[in-house]
Amino acid sequence: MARIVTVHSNRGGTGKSHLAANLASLIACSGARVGLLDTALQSAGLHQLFGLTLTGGSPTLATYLGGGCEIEDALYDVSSVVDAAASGGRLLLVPSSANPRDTADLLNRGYDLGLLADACSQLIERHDLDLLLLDTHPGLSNESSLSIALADIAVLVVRPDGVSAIPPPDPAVSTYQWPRRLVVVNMLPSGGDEAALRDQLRADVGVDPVAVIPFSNELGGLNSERVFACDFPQDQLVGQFRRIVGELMAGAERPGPSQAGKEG
Amino acid sequence: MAPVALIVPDPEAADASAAELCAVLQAEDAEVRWATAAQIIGREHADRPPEILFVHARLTGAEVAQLAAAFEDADRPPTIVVFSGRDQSLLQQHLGSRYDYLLPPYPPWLLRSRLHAGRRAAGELTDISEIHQLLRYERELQIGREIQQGFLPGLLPSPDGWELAAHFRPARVVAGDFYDAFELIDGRRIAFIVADVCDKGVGAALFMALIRTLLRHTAQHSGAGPNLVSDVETAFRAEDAGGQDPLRSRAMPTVGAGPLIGAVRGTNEYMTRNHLAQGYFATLFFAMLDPRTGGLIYINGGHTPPVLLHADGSLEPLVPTGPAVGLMPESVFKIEYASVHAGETLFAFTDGVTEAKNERGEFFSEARLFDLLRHPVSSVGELLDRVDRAIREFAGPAEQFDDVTMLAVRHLPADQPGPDPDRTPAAPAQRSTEER
Repeated sequence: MARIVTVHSNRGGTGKSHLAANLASLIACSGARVGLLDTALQSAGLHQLFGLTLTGGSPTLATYLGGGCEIEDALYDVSSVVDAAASGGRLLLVPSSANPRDTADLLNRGYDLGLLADACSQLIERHDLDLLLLDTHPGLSNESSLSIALADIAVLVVRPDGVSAIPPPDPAVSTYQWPRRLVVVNMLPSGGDEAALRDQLRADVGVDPVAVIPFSNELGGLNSERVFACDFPQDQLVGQFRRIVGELMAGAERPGPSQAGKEG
Repeated sequence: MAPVALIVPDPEAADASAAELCAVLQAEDAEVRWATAAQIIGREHADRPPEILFVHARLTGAEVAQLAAAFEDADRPPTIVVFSGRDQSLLQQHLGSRYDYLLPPYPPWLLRSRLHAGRRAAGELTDISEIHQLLRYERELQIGREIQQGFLPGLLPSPDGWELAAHFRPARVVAGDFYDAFELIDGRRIAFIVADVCDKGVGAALFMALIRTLLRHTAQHSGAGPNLVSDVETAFRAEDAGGQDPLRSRAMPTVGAGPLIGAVRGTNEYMTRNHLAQGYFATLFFAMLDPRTGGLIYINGGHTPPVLLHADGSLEPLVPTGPAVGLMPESVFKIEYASVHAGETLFAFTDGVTEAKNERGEFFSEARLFDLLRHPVSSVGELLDRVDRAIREFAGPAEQFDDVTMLAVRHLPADQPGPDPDRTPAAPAQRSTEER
């Protein structure tokens, strides 16, 4: 059964989408079948990391939610962009939106939230996914709440200056229960004291982050047009990403590499 | 009841003629009252207007007209008779008037005739007025019936691979039963409702219009409201959701669940907040069908369980998941799941079907209905005709006691093409499928 992972942060600018794209790419490159669903209707952009150019009429998640297409129509195979095919992996992307005006209209009008859960089911079943990764809009929204509720694991991304933004153990996100949470501290400034930060997190919110990722000029320099892990697979940053991947895939029924070459 | 005669005597002189008149009237079993013109004009006379008013001829024509005017608003204005005493010349001033007149001696047979003529005339007037009133009511009811027809769907949705039909036969001109079916969520779901408002006739019909409108409007305008996520979650039975949801072991929003719970809960809150004192409520079955998969989510609010006719001939009742709508504030309605597989039919109905009576007072009964449902179904129209025909034959000449409403949804077998690619016409309101 596919694992669902939601990447979320309470505030914007934490590098959440970059992290989601990198995690999805690494897992796909390890031979797994991965779906990446951008649920951030309010701030579309994940698709740009994969060099995907959309026009106003391109089908997206927003088009599907508004009744304009089926979720299958909004699916873009970006396996070749991240070189996943060689390992037998696959990366299928659903961009959130391509038309801000229509999306604003959709959000104003409202839509049936069950469609989002249904989309996840369909993607998992039709493409026999090993992992479905959901990127979210920062803070609370119906899409974010549901994405967290659907997840087996929620990756919460915070910046070192935003430690307090980690939700308390019993958050008021919704009446849903929280899934297992992994906290990732991103963009630790050079010279930042990781050990002290970890101590502070443990003391303040009882959290031991799964990774503390240093700020990277190279990552910033990509200007949101590439997936970092594909361009710099040996970088120290990617090592941190792999640690997170290890946690996400631990105990998975079909970890990627051993299944390399599986149909797809 | 004795006829009432009111006598207005000579205002100027005591006149034995009035007493004489009184005696004859009393001998004819009339109830005699007395009043002065001033008392009548001042509305001081008794509440019950007289059948006949005897006015002494001393009063002028204008005064008599004033007296007549005092009774104009009465349901049955009295017959007015001007009488004279010995001075018969007083009558001259009234000869041109439209009033009857009387002069002594006062023969009993004549007074009897006057009294009864007054009653008869009043009675005839009343009859005409009552008929007029009845005709007006009938016209109003007819308008009500036509308007109520507009509250039933003119067309039923007809998704590929499915067949829908409805049957509606009210016991009276207007009904408390209703059914509805419409597309939701860009055609991804088909909503359908069968409901029974308590009571019958105009009151039930008015509440039918309200409840149907609240349900449909709310269902069609339920977006992803801020509270909807939690609303939907609490509407599912968490312990039951595990086997149904491929994603999670806990309840998750399902497509259509928001509109479904929003409509039923919203209608219940509206009804109990605004109309609790009037005591009207509705039992209902409200379902959302996914025509792609046959998956069904539903709320049964205290309604006679619809029956899922499985391909193997077994029947599965979809029992209540909550109380009737409009009965109690903050009622809890749960959403349940079912599946209508290819070749299977969902049959929803009101208790007018099972509780149809024959002349011996026996009910048509669930057992008779289920026997009919167990036979193979060739089309939903045929199924509804079969059931309605059986009810009519069973009831015989007995008066129809309750509205009969049925709605059937059939998942066509894979090898059977869909009905018309256009939408299926609904059963014309107030007509049976036989009459189509």
